[in-house]
Amino acid sequence: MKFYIAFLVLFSSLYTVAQQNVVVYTEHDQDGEIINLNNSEKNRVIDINSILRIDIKTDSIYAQIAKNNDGEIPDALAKKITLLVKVMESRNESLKTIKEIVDRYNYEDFKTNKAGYDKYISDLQTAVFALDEITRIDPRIDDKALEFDDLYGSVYQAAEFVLKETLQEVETFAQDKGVYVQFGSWLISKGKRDAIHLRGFDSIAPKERFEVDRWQVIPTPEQLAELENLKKFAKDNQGKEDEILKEIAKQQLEQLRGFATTELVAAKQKVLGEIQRIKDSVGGAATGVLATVDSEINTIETSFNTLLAELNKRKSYYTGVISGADALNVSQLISTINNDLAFIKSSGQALLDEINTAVTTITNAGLTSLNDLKVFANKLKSEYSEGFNAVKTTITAKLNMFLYGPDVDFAALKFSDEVFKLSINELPSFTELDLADTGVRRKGDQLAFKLVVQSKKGTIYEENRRFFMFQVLTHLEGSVGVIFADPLANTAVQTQFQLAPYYNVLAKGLFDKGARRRSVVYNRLLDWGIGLHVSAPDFDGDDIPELGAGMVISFFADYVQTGAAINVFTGDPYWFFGIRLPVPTFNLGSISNGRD
Amino acid sequence: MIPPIILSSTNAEDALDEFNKSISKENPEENPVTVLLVLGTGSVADEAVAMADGLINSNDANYASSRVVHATNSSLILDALKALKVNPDMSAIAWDQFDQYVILSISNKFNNLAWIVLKSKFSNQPRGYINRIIRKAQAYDKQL
Repeated sequence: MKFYIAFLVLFSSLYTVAQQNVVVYTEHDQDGEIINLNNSEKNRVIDINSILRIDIKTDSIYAQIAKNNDGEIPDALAKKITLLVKVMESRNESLKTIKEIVDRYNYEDFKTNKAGYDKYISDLQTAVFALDEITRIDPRIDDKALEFDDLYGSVYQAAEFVLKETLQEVETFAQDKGVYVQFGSWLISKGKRDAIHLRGFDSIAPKERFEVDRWQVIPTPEQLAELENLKKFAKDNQGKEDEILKEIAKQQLEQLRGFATTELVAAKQKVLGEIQRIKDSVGGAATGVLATVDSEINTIETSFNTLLAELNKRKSYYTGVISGADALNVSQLISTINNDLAFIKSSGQALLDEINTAVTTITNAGLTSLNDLKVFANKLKSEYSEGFNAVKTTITAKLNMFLYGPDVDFAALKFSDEVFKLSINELPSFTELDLADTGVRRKGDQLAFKLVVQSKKGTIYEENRRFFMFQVLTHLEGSVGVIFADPLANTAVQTQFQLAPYYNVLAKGLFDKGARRRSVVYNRLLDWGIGLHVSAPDFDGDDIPELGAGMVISFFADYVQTGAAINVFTGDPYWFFGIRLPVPTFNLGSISNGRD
Repeated sequence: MIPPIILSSTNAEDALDEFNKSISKENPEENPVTVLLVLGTGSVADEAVAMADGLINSNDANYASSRVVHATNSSLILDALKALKVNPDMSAIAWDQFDQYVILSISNKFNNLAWIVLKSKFSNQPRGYINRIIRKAQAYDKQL
């Protein structure tokens, strides 16, 4: 048994041909941790200062040539490789099944339990027969299996050996057919893509080395320049703080108003009127298809009223915020806006589905009496779709753009003449990419990799991968922006809050390295930090900023930050907050520090 | 410890009786095992007995359903062996030159003669050949 377990553990981690990936990525971070990046998760995060080890599996290239064979190699060879690759993919499952059956063996029990014995024999025969069939793919497998100790696993070990030998046979054919490989990388930052040097694969000039500061305590020159702008911004807007917050609410209200237009309500009324007219014409008792249509329209009516009631309730909240009727609760405002977006997407889509169903039923009924209803229902559908899609598209596009940036268009990533065309046997078995050598980069930038196997006939195989770069490891991060400061002592400030520029030094990645590695959304929206805060309010109104210092806690990737500070000139305390919002265009709080 | 069953080398009746018991011809569940039948005497036969016995008495569950039977004089049970159904995927057995073989397997339930190994080859990969004959016995334990 121990042989079996040892084999399974070794084998399951060893063989990559069956996984089909030609390129295997491993991250070596600055803390000495090694992370396997082999799963093909689309939005994988790596630390912005790591080193990537990139292994090229030539066996997998041969397997891909066989799988996508277009005359590059003989069909029989391609078929054999494809079969063997399939066998290797099934190995863990097959061995697990056999183990489960073997573990059922009980000599004493089977002597009296005929049913159990028969089932054991039948199951084992089926499973081992399937295993034995592997030896028919190539006669070498049965002989090679003799060399391995494991009763069942030896067949797979032999199949692996034969597969490797068979893959080598592809090399000769690939050379004759002029098969070559290109592998390239691009840094994608703010929509721009820049080709990156990969040692052994191109002659692209390396970028100037740039390491993102992991322990930033003092502001960068860009942040100092930004602070100057923020000071002016804060001064120009003193006394308008509440209006700025209300502007956010106004934008949201406009978005909601744009959804439920009078045209849409009128279209719905026409549908309801028409279905009532039809019901009246048949004496009020709907039957058959008409009953179905009536039921579906009733469902629409209910959903519609619920949606409108919800929208009105939400609109009245923003109206209250704007008019100042209610005290401004910042966290509630943010939470409400986010809830609205989720609500519109889910309930809005459900209603659209219901309308589509009704239109289909009416159309398929083919009744002359429903002709007018068909016209009105289609009108309702177009009015509703227009409004809903406009809101949904805006929200979805903005959110996706915000979270992930523009999607990588791998088709548009073209190899320059500086990227070598390498035959398979010329390929380096691995290369290393120190991210510092990719030049200036920011949190959220992407690294794209593209490998293409080509023959004279065209592309045989293409493999793409992208990674997002964030500061995953524990780090200090400086940021500048403006806060809303609320003095707790008597000051010359007339409004509740006063805008003030700040500089924060936040410790991040303290306990959430795992979450940072797993999720782009976490890095963009949910990460948090704690640290020191310095700001420059002007509570005495003499146009000369004072100096405040304190502690700050930042949540939701600096969208919300709050803390307390003391005016070091007067000794008066004040609390403050800063906010940014993901969707509306208006942002306050942490303004770009040159790294995000 | 499960010792090998050694058949009589001189008494044909005893040898046959013991062999039939080992394969439980009438009621297979009475002795639910795959039989690894070692043939003849000599160093290769001894090696086969030792290797099979070692595996069966190891902690490896894969071998728990097998038993070693040693026919020191295989001619005494030759007719019984000839009466067994033979795995059709195996090369024909040279019954008239039966002493060239060292070990064969008989499947657990259907008592099919599943695989046989030449004496000349066995020592090259003793464990590998025992594995092979067990696998074949399990794969072909069906109505032939």
